[in-house]
Amino acid sequence: MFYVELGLRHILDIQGYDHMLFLIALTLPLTFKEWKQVIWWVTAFTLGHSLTLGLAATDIIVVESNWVELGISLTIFLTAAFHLMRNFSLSKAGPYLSLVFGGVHGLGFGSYYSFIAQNDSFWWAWLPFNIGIELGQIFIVVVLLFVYSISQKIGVQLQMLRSLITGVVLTLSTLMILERIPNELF
Amino acid sequence: MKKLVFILILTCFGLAGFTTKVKHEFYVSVTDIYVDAQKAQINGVVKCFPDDWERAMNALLSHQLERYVQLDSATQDSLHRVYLKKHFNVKVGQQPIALTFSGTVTGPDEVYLLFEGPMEMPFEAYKKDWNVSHTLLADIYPSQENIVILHYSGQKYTSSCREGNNYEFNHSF
Repeated sequence: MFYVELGLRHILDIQGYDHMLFLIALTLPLTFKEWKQVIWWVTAFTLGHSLTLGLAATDIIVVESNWVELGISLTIFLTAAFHLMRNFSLSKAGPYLSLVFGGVHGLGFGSYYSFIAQNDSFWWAWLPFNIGIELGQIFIVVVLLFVYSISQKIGVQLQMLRSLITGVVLTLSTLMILERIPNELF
Repeated sequence: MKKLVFILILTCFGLAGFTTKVKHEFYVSVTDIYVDAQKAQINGVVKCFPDDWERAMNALLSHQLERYVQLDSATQDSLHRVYLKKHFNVKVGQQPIALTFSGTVTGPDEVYLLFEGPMEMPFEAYKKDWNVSHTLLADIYPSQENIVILHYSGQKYTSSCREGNNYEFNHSF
């Protein structure tokens, strides 16, 4: 149960809001009506995330953390830009985008997870930790869709709201990209 | 097109005005505590990141000109002893366990701080009423989370000491 809680706290940690930002970008075209897609997209993210987290924590995949951090910010920017280009219409590529980009985010947790998970409980804790992450993501997405739904009901244009949110996401992800460009590129 | 211009303006505005650092750091340690019936001892190990640990040790030396890395291992160990005593306290059934620092092992990416203490009660008494207070590195990083794993008679219990629980938890097996 501790590791479920840990995963949940990690995803809801406001200091690490890059995951939240990605979820905001990912769910831009979704509403409660598309609940099946919502589940698919979020689960695909968790699958990609869980897989690469395990691979990175066991050193099967080794990517330098500064490149992973840059990759994470790029996924946020690209996801928001992708939905903006498509005028926030639903895309069949959504779950695949989510799976691949979830994989990039999972790499970011690899070193942390290998530090906290003891040898004898590595895989035993892996599943509950990822269940916690999934629950946290579902919570964030439900809150987002609820905000969209309420906004619609009080007369806010959904497209306008989405455009605003996209602007914020693009701003923050651009900042992240600029801050995380590895020094060796210069 | 209007929308794109609007978003671009918003983006530029945000870039100019948003100065907060966008970075996520994890501050964490892992502590194992064993009740060793054979040795009649409570022992264990605290694992933390070397850079975090160095920063905490340098803070202890703040009134001196020396830096932690310049000290010999005996002096470093005496600092470890002082710091651990101040920040790590374990009680069982209201009775404090007199844990003492017993050595340091430095790995490639971790520092291991070993500790031990006497088992002053019958083995069965360690089944109930654990109280662990662990503020290691929390003086440097308030978001520090100290994960603690209690091992007793083949059973294991994992929890953590963090800001949200005032860096303290209780448990009974």
